[in-house]
Amino acid sequence: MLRISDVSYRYKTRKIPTLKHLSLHVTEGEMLLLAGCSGCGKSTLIKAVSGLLNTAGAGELDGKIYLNNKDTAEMTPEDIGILVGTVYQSPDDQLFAMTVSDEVGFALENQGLDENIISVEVQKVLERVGLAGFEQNSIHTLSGGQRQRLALASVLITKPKLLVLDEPVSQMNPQGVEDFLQLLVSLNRIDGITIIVVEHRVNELAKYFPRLAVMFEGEVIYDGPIELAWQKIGSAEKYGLREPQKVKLCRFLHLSKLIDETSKVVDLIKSECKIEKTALTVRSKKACSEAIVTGKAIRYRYPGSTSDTLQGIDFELYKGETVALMGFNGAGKSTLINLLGGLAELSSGELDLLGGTVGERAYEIGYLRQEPDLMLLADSVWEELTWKNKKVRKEVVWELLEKLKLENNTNDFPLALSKGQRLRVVLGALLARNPKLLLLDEPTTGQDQQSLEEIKKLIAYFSQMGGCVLFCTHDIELASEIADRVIIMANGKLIANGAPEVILSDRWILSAGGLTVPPLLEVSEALLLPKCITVEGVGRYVSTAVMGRL
Amino acid sequence: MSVRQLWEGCDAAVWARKLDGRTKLLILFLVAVLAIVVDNPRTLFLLFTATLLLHLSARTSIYKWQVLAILLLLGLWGSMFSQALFFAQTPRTPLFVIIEPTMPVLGQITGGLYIYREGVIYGAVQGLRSAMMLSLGLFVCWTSDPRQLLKALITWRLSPQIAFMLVTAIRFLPVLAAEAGEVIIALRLRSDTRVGRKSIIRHLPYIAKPLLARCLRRAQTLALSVVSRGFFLATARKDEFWHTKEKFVCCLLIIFTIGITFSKIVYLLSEQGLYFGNLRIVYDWTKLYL
Repeated sequence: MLRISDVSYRYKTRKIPTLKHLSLHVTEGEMLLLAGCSGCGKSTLIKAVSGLLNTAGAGELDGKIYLNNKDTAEMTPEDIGILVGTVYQSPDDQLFAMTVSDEVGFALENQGLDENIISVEVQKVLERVGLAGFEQNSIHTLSGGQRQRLALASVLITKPKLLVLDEPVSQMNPQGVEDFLQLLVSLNRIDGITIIVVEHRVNELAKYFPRLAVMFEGEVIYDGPIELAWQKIGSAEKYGLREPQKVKLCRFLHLSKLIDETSKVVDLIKSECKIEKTALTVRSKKACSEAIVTGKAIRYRYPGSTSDTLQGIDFELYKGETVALMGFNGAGKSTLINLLGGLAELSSGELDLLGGTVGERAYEIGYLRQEPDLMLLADSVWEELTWKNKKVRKEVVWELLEKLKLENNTNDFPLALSKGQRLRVVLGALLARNPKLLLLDEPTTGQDQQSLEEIKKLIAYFSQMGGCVLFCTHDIELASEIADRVIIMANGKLIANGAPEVILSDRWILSAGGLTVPPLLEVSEALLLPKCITVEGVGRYVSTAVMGRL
Repeated sequence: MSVRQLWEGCDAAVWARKLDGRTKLLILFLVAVLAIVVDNPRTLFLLFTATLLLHLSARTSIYKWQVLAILLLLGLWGSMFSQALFFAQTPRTPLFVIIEPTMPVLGQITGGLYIYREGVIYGAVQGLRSAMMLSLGLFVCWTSDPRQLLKALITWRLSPQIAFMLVTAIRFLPVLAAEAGEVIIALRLRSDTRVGRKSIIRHLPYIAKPLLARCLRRAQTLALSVVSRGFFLATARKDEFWHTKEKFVCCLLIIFTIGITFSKIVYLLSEQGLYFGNLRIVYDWTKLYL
């Protein structure tokens, strides 16, 4: 289906090639997961496959790409577009029309097909992706997951042989990810479409893909079965990959194999490790008893709405504590965080922040919104950290820059930095104000593993300094690793509030909060251990293997 | 209704959404010509009312009416008030005196400040012209799909690249509006004063950069997406079907606009001495209504 043969590409503005003698062969009906850290050349490769590199004239392309045994250099991007459907990361950026049916029919209109044929085809494709009934809806009224399905439908209409998806699930919640990937699997199995997905979140996607290719600095450093990848790659973090938690557990326990299948991991642990059944020590709930925020019977109703979005919430946030706020989309998480950030006023109830109202203590709050790019306002990183902040001293800024690993980028234009760096600049600007409460709305969305680790370090540093962090996330692994406490919301109410190991191992709470079951919970249950959700948690009961890997 | 939904037309009446992009753009152009040609405040008001009737029959939502009203009133009031104050032509009739010429300092500097009757009328004429175009422009914006306008421009043989660039601006309007709101929130959050935390206006000068950067990124992805969906093939568009009824209405409007323009030109020529006796009825009609 697709044969990439010794392809190199160098952007004219860069000295080093972005793609270096890259070869990849994808046969018809295959599903390939292409992973790698930010800037490794994945997006450039997608452009090359879609025939959008050589026409741009912005660089030098060597080597050959064959689609159905036809050299893409001899095909126009439009011809390639009929064979290859490309879906980009953000559906908002690629959707063009006003209504769902118009968007889906766009490609066929361009081919000059009759209106009646288009309408029949549109209906078929919408049914296939689960959007039947939404034909006349505005694309802006769809949820994130539905928009991504629409983007998929808009390329499926031309019946492509190959689908290339660039980080399609990076902005979805766990349920959305699962539904979307099930759809891809069905397109692959039933319709026989070859699928290539580019994604960092290998941990969540691994089970759907038999084959993994890993890119690093413009080269494919691994290409083979996904179950052998972890053993061969070595350090996944170096390549920006998020390893599945079960694989991390295998590493931690020095097991002889690195596997991502519950039953096999359990068998391996039973055969290679000694299992102890001592009592579980749950991490302390509070880092300190000094409350920073106290909310009592908080209610909030959006103007024009007939019901309360927040329905009488009581909670406290303590000094030095990191709290994860989780739940379904629309559960009220963002509303609560907006109230704490001073962007909305309570309808009723009390919200005390360090002995005053949110309005009075606004300067004690740092709020990172979901789109950090829209918070970058200055011309250089240094300027960004000191923007409208006369109190900050130079030494503090330098210290922060070192912590953010941006000391060599002080004069760089913030919006030209990588995604991870841009997020860190905004975080730095917030931390430079020395806030007492840091609010983070989905801080890890679309970040690769290296960047994720940097963010974790920053959060840990801030809470060690006595700050309180409240972060919204769908990432159960992140919450279990860094949160001291987890709050789960559903329908505007708190349904659970406690230590991650207790809350995130309760299947009823997970289901009520729209969360997926942590992979290690299944492992600990199969081993008949007390419920564990982290590698360290399982490690408390299982001694490292004596016969396994070193 | 969200800011994003304000700038799109999914809630408009079906007939307005189904109107061909060419019909809409042509009407917009012809009304623009009429807005320049006509000077009579009553006729301008009638034309302006006609544009509002279009909104009414397209079932423009209440929220959009509110936005339209604010924009129209601001424009009309600003134009009338500024012209009333600074009207320099003669004759002019003062309606009110704001600063007497005899008033110490200010009176001597300004020579007196008045509200002139002719200025109010002149301002109203200018204001009605812009209000008419604003109202009709928003009608097109709130009832059109970017694709529709794109088709119209391409069937008129405009280069697909230029047509795409023009229409992309409209495509991004809803997103831009939503993101401008986001940037202002970000600015409020990063402000170091209590006033800054509440204010919107003081942050306006800083919103351009992040918005522009985002637009560039978005435009690049959108361009890649439409290219791979065969946009520049555009094989069918050159013979795009245009409903006969719509064509007929457009023809009538073209004839009407040409007629009005002709009347105005001959009237202006008559004022310069190029007078034809058999066109007297046209001169009289133009003087009365145009």
